[in-house]
Amino acid sequence: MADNFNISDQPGGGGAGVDSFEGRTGVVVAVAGDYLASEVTNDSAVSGAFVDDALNALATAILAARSQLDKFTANEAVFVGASAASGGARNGHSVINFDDTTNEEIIFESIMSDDYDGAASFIVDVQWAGATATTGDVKWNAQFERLAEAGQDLDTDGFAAAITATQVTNATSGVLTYTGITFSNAQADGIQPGEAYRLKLIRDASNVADTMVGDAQVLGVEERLA
Amino acid sequence: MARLFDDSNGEWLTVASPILDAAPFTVAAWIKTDDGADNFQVIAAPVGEAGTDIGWKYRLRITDTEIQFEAEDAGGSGRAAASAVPAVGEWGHAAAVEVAVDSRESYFAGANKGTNATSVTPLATSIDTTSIAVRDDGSPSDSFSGDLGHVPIYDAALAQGMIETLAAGYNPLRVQRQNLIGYYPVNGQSPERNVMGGFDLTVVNAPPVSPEPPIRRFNVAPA
Repeated sequence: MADNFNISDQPGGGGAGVDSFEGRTGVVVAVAGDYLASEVTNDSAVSGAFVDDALNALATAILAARSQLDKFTANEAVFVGASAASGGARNGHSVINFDDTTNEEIIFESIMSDDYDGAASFIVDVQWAGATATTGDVKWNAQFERLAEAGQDLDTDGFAAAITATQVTNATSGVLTYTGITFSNAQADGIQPGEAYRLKLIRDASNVADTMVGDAQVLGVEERLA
Repeated sequence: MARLFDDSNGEWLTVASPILDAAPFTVAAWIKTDDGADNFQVIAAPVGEAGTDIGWKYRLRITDTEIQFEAEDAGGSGRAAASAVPAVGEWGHAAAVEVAVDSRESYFAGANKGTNATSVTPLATSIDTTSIAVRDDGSPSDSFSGDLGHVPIYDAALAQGMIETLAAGYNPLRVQRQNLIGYYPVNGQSPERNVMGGFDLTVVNAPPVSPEPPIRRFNVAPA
């Protein structure tokens, strides 16, 4: 059996204890700061020479694995208001059709992931394709409405200002384009983990920057950390 | 879910109350007829006056290749007809819109729109019944023959885009729900519940439960 040192080992315990450490003598007990993570050899399955390396690697991996904050398919859209986009299908895929002349919108409802730290910027990826177009740009606007405890009155709308992104459609009409719209926490109405919220997605078709002819078809939306 | 209505057995759903009594409104349903010869199959009589023809009725006229939405008062009637019908044994989506007393529309599959501009005003004071799969004019007749389910009733005239959305299989609970006053999934309960509250439908002669219409994932009818 290897003669390993354990931080809980104490003199007189029958193990390979010590009788002085860092200037402390007699019955030496472990105290905070005796060992830094960078001084302890890592023999776990996580990569890294020392424990601090392993913990950092683990944190990076966890962050990457949990970068998705929320996701919505077309089937989860809510169609409300006089300017709602319309639902449809394309080769069996559920899509939401956004007109090329009238500004149309849909709403997604959810509760913000507990993995969100309540401060970081994040990206709303709009996954879309041109219904028929192979050229032209689409301008997307997105708005958040935070529904905090003792916050927004459900009887009124409280969407924060729209954040926008414009992107050219794919040269093949059925191939998706992912348009990322980056929000700071403030721009996302200050949304906090575990809070209810609404996300409104609008095609700003009347804007001069929106040049694509024909419907833009949204397949889904993902929210992920920037 | 849906129910399979046997017209020879007098099977339908009804409530002796008007869920609404005037324009504007919209009613829709998923339908699958099993009878290619019966020319008068009522999908819904969203509201009407029991014992008379006065009110609104929405019916499939399969040999005429029409889905008709008709309003009738003491002075006459006006009828909008969608110019297509589902093939026998296949699901299709039908929707009727009473935009105003002199403007009504009938759709099949979110398209095939037919319109009518005859001014017809059934008196609100006489409207007293709501039924699905039959018209009860005192002598219930023209029962629907086949499967029928997912019946929403709105107190607004839905735009064609919203009719397209319903026909694409989106659940009515997600579509212009601020105006959704009635939604009957028709999922085998007795009475058949209006999930928006009130106006539950009495089940007449127990049409059996049948498979779900082509509603998209996440949109299964609430129990």
